[in-house]
Amino acid sequence: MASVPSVRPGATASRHRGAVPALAAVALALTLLAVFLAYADASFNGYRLQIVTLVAINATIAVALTLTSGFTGVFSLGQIGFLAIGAYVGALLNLAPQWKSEMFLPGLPGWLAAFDTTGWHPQVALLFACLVGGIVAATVATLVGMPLMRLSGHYVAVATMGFLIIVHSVANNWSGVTRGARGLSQIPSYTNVWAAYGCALVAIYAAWRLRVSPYGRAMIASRENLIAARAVGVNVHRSRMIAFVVGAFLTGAAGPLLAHQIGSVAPSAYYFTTTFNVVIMVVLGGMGSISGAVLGAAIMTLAPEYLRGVEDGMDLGPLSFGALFGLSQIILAIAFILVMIFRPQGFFGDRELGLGLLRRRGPRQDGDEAEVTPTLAPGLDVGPGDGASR
Amino acid sequence: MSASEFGQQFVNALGLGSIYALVAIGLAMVFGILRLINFAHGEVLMLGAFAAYYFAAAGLPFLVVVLLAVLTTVAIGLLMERVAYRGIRGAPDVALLLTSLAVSIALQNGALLAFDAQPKPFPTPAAIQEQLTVGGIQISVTNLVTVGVALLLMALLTLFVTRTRLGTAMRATAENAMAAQLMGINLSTVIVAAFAIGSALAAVAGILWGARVGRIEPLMGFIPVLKAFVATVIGGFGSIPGAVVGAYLLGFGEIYLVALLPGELSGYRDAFVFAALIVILLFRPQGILGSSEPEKI
Repeated sequence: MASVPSVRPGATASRHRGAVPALAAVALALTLLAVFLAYADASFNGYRLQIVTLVAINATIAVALTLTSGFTGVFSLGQIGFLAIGAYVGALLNLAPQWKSEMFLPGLPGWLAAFDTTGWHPQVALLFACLVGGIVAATVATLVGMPLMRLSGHYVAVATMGFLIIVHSVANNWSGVTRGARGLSQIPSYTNVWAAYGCALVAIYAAWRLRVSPYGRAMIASRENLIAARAVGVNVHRSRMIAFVVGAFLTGAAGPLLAHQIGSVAPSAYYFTTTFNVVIMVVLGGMGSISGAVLGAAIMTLAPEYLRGVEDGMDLGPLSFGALFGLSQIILAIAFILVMIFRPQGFFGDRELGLGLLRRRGPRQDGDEAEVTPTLAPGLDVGPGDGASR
Repeated sequence: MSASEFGQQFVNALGLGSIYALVAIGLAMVFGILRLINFAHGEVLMLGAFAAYYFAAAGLPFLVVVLLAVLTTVAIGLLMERVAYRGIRGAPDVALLLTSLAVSIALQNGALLAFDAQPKPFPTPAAIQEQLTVGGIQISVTNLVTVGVALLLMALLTLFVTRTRLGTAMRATAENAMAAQLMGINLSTVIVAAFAIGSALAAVAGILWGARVGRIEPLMGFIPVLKAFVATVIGGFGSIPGAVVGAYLLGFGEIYLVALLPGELSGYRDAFVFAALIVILLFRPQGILGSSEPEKI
């Protein structure tokens, strides 16, 4: 309907009417977030603050996976491999030189061992690590993606899982650089809520811009119908590559945040359990929904904290349970299976939360795709003015 | 590598390949019919080994232990199919794959709670633990038993698949599920049969793995199922003979890779195995024996 040129003089103005409240809503949401973060930063204890921070880091990773897999339908199980690359790169850049010496990391090249960021402002060092981590991950993704993005269905899931196993194997065995299974520790804790949420917002914005761009439409088109997309001239391989590489960059950039939050990097933290957790976030929220990924990340970060109370044991009347470690994983896995059976599209499917609330007056159409476009791109395709004329 | 060492490794590789083959057959059978890559198959193997452990602890004779463990495992496999997989039949490939990962994680953590993370010594009968020396080559009886049992079960499976009505129905369903159903084949029966056979073979593989490694623990299923999975990819997804060939190739590749690589590189053997997997997926996604259409863009 946007393609039909409107002759009403007020049409242009009424189109922008949709964009203003949307912008206001975004500004309001950002202000509320900033107020909350300032409050959390000032009054939360270290443990709670860490959880608040982890929500943002997980949201970044989940949004990146949504971009890579949700938009294109090319399911990657190798995402955490890029997170590991970013985390190790960040750690190796920002470790104090005494921890990078010959004694601890004999395999490290001399220039990297001598590279000293201890004099830098912590946030500058962190930003630098995130950028380098992202670039290294994106470079690896370009090399890996060139062949792998030609595969489809579970073949690509399996091949990317192979990539994850290879990264894990290298991290576990390249002792001179990674210290093997012991991992790297003594990583300075540079990450704070502002850096983590800043990164998450950048990821969300990047994913959203990509989604509403021609590249994003090409991704969705190739996901929905490969043959039809190619028939209208979509370069499927290129759009998949863009999704894979941008997703890897964002994930790689989240790696240093995680390393500088936790203070250590070990191969076991970047393997199947983590992969599975991120996959649950994305599937729970709805494959292809950015806000769904954020919601999924929040739930999957907070839920284990509440379930941890269950693991410590409990008394149910006459029954008393001792500590049940791993119970939260079981509960989450079962919840995932139930979602798969009863609501395979997740909470949101392809839709986005938030801006849609402002657009109730707009035309309502059936089908996910039709609803995504107006909510994602206010004033671009369908304005409320067009709806009013019906 | 000396000749005797080569011979020793040969028997060793045959044993490892046999275990992979038993696991891979179950994966391939379920995949052929459901298009489900069942990651939880490794947990079925683990539960088979633990069932054997607890039946043996009850003081039963070993053959009875094996029989009971197999029956228990088959029951678990069928329960898994009923609870988790029946509800998502026909879902997209990736949804099936992720569900099986969830089942796998639930069972792993359940086993950690129930059996404790501490490895348990596997009660292998003393007769099987011996070493024979034949022509200067040391051969462990465990390896011989493993190879013998695997070959026997594979022969029985071949007879079942080619000579019985149910076996024919399974092959027909794997070929074309829709056409098979139109010919009056009950899909559920076929699926249940596939899970039952796969679980039984996994239980045997779990017991043989326990005898080979000497101890069992809740996370033991992960590595064999990954390797068996690579074997099914090498052989062509869903092809049972292909899975067996792939399993033996992988067993030999792995054993000789470790024997030939310098010590500091042998830790990378999983990386080599999966790099090979990726190369096969890229250049021959239908596997070496498979004939299905490659899914490439």
